[in-house]
Amino acid sequence: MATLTVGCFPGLIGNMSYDFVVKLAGAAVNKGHKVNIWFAGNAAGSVKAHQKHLKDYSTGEKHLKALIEKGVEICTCEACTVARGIQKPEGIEKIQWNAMHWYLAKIHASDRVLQIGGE
Amino acid sequence: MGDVKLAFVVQKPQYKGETSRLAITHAIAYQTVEILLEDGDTVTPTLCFVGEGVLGLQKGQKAMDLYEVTSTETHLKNCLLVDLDVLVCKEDLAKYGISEDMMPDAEDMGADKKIKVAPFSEIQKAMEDAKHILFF
Amino acid sequence: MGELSSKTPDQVLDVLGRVCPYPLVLTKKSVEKMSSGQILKVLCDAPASAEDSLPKWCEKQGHKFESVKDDAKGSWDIYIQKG
Repeated sequence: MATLTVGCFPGLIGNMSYDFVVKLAGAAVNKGHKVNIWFAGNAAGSVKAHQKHLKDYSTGEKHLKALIEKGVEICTCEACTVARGIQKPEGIEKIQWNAMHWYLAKIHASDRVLQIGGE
Repeated sequence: MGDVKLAFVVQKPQYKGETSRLAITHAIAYQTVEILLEDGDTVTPTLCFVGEGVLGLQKGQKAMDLYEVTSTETHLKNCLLVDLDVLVCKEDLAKYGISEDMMPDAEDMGADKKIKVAPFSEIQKAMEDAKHILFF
Repeated sequence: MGELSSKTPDQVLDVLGRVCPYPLVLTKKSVEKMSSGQILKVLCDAPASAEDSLPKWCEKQGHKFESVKDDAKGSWDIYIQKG
């Protein structure tokens, strides 16, 4: 079993990179790996709770909740998130809020790191 | 586990998007990661600017005056203040006609560290030495 | 008033509007230059820094830490006495 940390920077809507991160994390955790996901930049906007799942748009909330249930640790950059007008009580439950050093600390203990760039 | 070397490679120009700036602040966070690591464990980043990533690094930026946001120049000065290794690709600077003396320093903040304008071979070496490479 | 907040700080650091990693980075830089026993007052409005990073760092470094939250402003006055 290995540890994978994914830095996810793209926004939820407008590209498929975010969807790829979610799919990849799911595949890795299903294989028995430990997975961490760090949201920063526009990806931080995806931690707001009560997302409506429209078939014509990508969705984050239900996939993130499922990943957390499987043991994936997900953390959002507090600064990136509050800058987008989202406060912690509005966030999806069990997603952590922290500073950039959370990402570096997870990288320190990781076998593989994937940095999925954003805008 | 000891020290883990990271290479932060910035390929996008400053101000075009957010991630080129986030690369800098994430690298600076090596100074604060100690609170989450065991004693003796460290992270050592090298911040590398290549390709279009060398654009927008020049001194004399007025982002705070004009847009009320911290300039890339200020973020770079903070890198130097915390002794972070900053490498800027010599060949790519030349490609865009940017002279080395246009790179900012942080002498006014009391930092001895300077931005290093380095040939790409040196940046490649930093990437080879890193356990993980993060592209921005 | 707490033990530290009742004293006049030797230095004040304003990191209002600054976000991670700057509040802790700039605090570390300020404390480095101070003598043991001196008090730094940090004005901060970044929750993760005020409630997590700064107290953790102080505990690890052996500095005394005291925090006074202003709920109306959403900011903290943080007092750090160098160990």
